[in-house]
Amino acid sequence: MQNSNLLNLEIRNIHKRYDSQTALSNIDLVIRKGEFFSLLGPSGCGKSTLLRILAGLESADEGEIWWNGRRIDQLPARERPFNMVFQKYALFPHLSVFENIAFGLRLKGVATAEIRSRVDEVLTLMSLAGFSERMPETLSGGQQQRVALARALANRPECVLLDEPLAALDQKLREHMQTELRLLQRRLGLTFIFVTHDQEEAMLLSDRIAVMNAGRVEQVSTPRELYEAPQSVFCARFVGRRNEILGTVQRRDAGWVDLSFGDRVILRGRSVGATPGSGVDGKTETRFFVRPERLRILTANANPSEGWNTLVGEVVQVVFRGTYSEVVFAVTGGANESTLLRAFTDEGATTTVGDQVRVEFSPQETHVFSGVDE
Amino acid sequence: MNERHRPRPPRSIAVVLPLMLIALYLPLAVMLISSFTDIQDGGSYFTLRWYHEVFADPALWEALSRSFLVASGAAAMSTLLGLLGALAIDKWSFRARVVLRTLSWLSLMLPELVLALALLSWFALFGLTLSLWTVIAAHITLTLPFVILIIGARLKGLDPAYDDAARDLGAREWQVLTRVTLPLLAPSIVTGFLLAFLISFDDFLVTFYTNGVGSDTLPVRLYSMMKQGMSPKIQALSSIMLIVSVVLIALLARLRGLKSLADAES
Repeated sequence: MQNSNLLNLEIRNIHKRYDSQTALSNIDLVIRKGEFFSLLGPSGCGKSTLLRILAGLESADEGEIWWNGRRIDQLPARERPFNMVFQKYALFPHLSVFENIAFGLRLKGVATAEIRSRVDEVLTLMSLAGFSERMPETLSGGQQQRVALARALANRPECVLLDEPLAALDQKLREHMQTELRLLQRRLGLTFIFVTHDQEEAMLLSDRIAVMNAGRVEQVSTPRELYEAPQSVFCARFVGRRNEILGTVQRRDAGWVDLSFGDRVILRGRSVGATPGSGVDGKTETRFFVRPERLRILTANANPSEGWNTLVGEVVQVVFRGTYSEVVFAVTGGANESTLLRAFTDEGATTTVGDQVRVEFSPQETHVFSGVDE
Repeated sequence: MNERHRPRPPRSIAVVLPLMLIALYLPLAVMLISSFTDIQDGGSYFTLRWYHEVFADPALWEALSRSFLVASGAAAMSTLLGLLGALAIDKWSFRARVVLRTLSWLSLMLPELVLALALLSWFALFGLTLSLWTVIAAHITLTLPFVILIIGARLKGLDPAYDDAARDLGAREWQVLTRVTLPLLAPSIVTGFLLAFLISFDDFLVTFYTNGVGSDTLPVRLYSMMKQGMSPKIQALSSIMLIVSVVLIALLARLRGLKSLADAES
């Protein structure tokens, strides 16, 4: 945490409780200047609370917030160089678009001429020219969203906080606004802290993502790292699709775990973090995680790759997804439970329901987590 | 419950209801018409004579102006107190809110006569001479719950995100109040004022018990005139009161503040 680079936001050891309930515990994050940083998690994970604490709308019970080397957690919201875009925009219904955007500038006592030019500037930036005299309620959802952004940007914040700003928009408009938001952030070079429960949105927009769960940060990484190397069961389950294979631990050594699946099949996977389970080998159960696109369907007489895991099964469903096909198969030769796995493949057309398939996957792409069944 | 599944009302209601409404409004119509009618030599003629008489009577003018003074004074005070009360209730704990809201509601249902007598003995206890001021004080008590409920309902419906947005954009607490909360409450503040004015302007019972000698308001004046029998002049006076009330109700309806009160209860 002793970061020498002062151009950033440091969140140190933030704790927050509501009555007896812990909303945030032990939050440590460093967000770099100019970064598009997402707080991703299911509802109730504390992501919005953290954002509100950053904005100064709520206070933390413990911890510090530093901005560019200056401690800001004791400043009121109005003195922080941040502005927020609210989930339902919170545009003042009694004020025109112009007055909504000018609200912060008027409070700061900016001269009238300067207010006009700064409002016009953000209106143009957000393609809202000509809307200045409209009342918020006469605007569409997308337009209101832009006004909310314009209102935040007019104050020239050093960091913009966005609380699920796209959640209220329909799918098509949301995709459009995602692109626009990303371009805008790059153009302005501002730090954006973006709260969302939508993992695809977070993956699409972010430079880095902090995955939050039950008031804690589970992982902070780039979207690619998050997808390919999740650091916890929660991340593996929350982000992207995955297969889970339940088996019995046979052997553990130096970051690798051998799992027996049924009578004969032995699978090998990489353990993330501490080696899972403290139980006795041969008795402890755990789960392997592998992404569907990492399962390779082997043709009838192909030889499996050296050292890879293989499983056989019967195809129960083939779903055509346009650019790929999703093959769902029931693993045969497993333990008492029937395990359904899915593989994403380009050659789904050649596979039909009822076919016997063999799949292989690399131990490198097979993950096992400590505490998986707690 | 889906509206379609509600039992049909009996057909007879289609006859009974209009009849009841006619029975209710017909006397008012008759009163209005009689106030413009002069009966001479067995014939009826249109006249403004009764209105001339009303406006030529200095005692009535005084009563009317007292009524306006009482109604505007009481409405202004109770709007101010009601606004502050509603703002305070909104910030307090859930338990305090429930107690205060219940008390406000309860006072609406109390028999007015009981309230009037209670106020009278209260003024006597403090040795206050009954005057226009005691009437205004009594009317504040009478109208305050309405104002608190109307403004409170609107306040409850306001998204707290507006306050947060104002703070985030640089507002201090008092600026949040003056630039966001009060403008958003404005319709309900006006509604509260008009309703308080209307209640006070029309009130007879509480006024009758709490006013002093020589400080009759219009309804009280009307009552003492009635003791000498019904006259077209009284009908003209009643029509004036009716028109003032209807104008205020029309204003209220335009503001739709009553709707927000009804919504808050559902």
